[in-house]
Amino acid sequence: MERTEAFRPSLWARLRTWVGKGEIRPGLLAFLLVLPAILFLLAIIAYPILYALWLSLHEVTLKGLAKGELPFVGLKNYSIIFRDPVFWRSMLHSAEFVGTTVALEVTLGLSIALIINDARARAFGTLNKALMLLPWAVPPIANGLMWFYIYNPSFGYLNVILYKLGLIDQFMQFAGNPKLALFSVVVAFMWRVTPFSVLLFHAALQGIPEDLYDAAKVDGAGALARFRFITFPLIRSTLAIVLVLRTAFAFMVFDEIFAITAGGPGDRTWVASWYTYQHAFSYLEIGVGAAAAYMMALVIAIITVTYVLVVYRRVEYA
Amino acid sequence: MSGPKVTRRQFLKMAGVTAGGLAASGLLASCGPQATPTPAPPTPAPAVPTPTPVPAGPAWSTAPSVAKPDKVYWVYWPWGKTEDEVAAQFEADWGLPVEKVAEPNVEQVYAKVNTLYAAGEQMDVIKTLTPWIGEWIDNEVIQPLDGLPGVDEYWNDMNELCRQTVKLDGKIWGLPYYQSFHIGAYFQDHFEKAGITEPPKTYEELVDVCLKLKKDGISEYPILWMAGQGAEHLTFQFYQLVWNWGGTVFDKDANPTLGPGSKAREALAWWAKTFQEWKITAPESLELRYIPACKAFWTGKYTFHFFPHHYYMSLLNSEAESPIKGRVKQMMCFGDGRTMGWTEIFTLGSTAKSKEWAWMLLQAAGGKTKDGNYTAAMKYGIGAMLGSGFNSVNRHPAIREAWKKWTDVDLNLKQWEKATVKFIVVPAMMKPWHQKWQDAAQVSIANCLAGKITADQACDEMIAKHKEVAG
Repeated sequence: MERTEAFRPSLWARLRTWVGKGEIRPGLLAFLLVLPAILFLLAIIAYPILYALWLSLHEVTLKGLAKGELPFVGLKNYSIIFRDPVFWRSMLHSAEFVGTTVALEVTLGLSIALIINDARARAFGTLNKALMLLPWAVPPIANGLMWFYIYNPSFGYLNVILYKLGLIDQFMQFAGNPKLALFSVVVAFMWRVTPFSVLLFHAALQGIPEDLYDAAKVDGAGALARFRFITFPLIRSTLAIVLVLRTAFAFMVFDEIFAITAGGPGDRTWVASWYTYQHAFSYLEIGVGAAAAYMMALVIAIITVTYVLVVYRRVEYA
Repeated sequence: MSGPKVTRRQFLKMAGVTAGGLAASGLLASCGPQATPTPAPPTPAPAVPTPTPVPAGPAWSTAPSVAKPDKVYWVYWPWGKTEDEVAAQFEADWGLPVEKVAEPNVEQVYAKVNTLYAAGEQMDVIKTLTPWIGEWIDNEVIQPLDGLPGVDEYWNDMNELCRQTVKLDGKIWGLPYYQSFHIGAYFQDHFEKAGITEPPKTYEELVDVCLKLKKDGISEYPILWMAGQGAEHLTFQFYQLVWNWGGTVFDKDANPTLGPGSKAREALAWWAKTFQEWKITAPESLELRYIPACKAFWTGKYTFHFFPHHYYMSLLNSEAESPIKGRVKQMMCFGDGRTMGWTEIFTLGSTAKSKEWAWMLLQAAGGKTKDGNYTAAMKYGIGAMLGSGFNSVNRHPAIREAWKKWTDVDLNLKQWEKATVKFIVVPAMMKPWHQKWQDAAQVSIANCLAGKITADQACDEMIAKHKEVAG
């Protein structure tokens, strides 16, 4: 029996035809084109987020997870963390950590970006960028281990250097000293992540036309005035992005804590992410861990919205 | 130690035949005829383990009669290349691929196993830290070995410290990975400089010696405890100190014994004094653990080192690495010499595809390989001074010979005999709330040692935390 197959154009060809004939609106086409990406993002981002929310409202044990027996407990897990003084101490430590790192990252990042953006340093632009990228390429856990050894109170390089310079008369504790422990983690974290801010600021600085600076110079503007009235307004959107991203990442610091202090001494470096990890994976209180993670996400969201409202919106009218 | 007149191979052969017979007879009694596996009874009693077909030969060299899975999964933290070698030998022996899930260190294995279990992933053999066992039994992450062929034979060869660990609620939960116990060591050069001829035998003598070393300018801080933050260190040192002091931290019902007038308070107060009053303990003791602590001792700044892993003597005197090799000597624990010990074990995952084949891998890891040798245990012992839970391994001449270069073997074995398993020393360790309590206790102990609170306040805090977490 003879079979005749009718010609059937591909979906893409049909879409193009519809658009050409005006049968499909460009807006709808755009939506259809981004739909796969949206579905993908929903699957890999939204699903885990919603699942974690669901977990935070249930009593979750290992056995329960494996067998699918997870009784609903409402807001009990949230109540547990709100009544736990360690949770509040961890949040306070996180606030200290985030405040310090973000302030330092912005200041240092912008300063370094301004230096390497200077005409005199541009000859070494590629070298500068390569050197900048090196710490960023170090995996967080490797960075933590590296600094763990640098800080070692008996044979660490930092002690050796300070001792040889005559700045200390005997080796001292950094990560094990309650007064220095959190700042020790700050330094290790900063070493790894500051290049990210430098690169973003540097990219923003390169986008500012030279003409603006030339005109300002003609008008007699000094370096400070040029920064205040040209550079700063034009990098404001980048600043907002840096603030949002760095705040979120600083809140999530984990590897350096894990490798350098393990939360100690005492609970001096228990930050929100460490609290979450301990409850979810050490105590196997997965619902409580999920609730703590949600509280952390809520705080980050509030700070992010504040940044956008305070910093980013003004850019629109600058 | 015995000086065997039979060779190791002969011994293992005899042990194999004898134990094979014992295992077979034991199983015969409980499971029915050996040659023909009995079908499962229609209504099996819940307490009786599932009967497993009894192999014709020794359990470690007879292939199970059930179909092989595609592969078997082994979750562990590595010790050198030992696990790689054991897995390769298993694959060569049985033609069954081993998927190695190697995590860099202990803590990561715990998280990994929990995650894999929650996701329903296959895990056949798990290298297990004993504080996790209670939690994993409760959550059915692991399954008992009872009823598997050859288990009785392994049981017969286990020493008491191992038996105390693997048998819980009447069931056997694993085969030994290694055994260890808290010890003390001293740097001989400092003794010679100070004219000290023998190590102190009591805490009072220890303080006197340290004050002399300090006064003579030989060591600023003579004592280095391995008491950093995290599992096995700060709280374990506290448990050990109290135990050696003659007290306990918890009673048999897991209630704290930290009240006023307790030995625990006394011991903690003394410990704090070594930091704050006499200043004979290095402050970095609270930061150092595992290998970095040994490396710190290599600097030659300290005289005494107290740590929870006897096998670190092999690092302190490492021929390849230690700048003070051969000059670090083991000493007996103070007083009657009692110490806290433990056996870490290999367990059988409840999500194993084939329990019988998982058991074969478990035997290769923690028992015997197909050739009838305790291959892994011998490697761990000879290469790294890890003690075994099996008498026949610990008494082996090759082990004794290997350890001679690191420590006084007789003294080490004498100390070993004084070891009590940590579950007996600290019964609370098997409670699901122990981890949480321990984290809080670390803060109290660290604050006490740092001079922020008194020993009484620290103990009161620990009692209060127990009420909170244990309900």
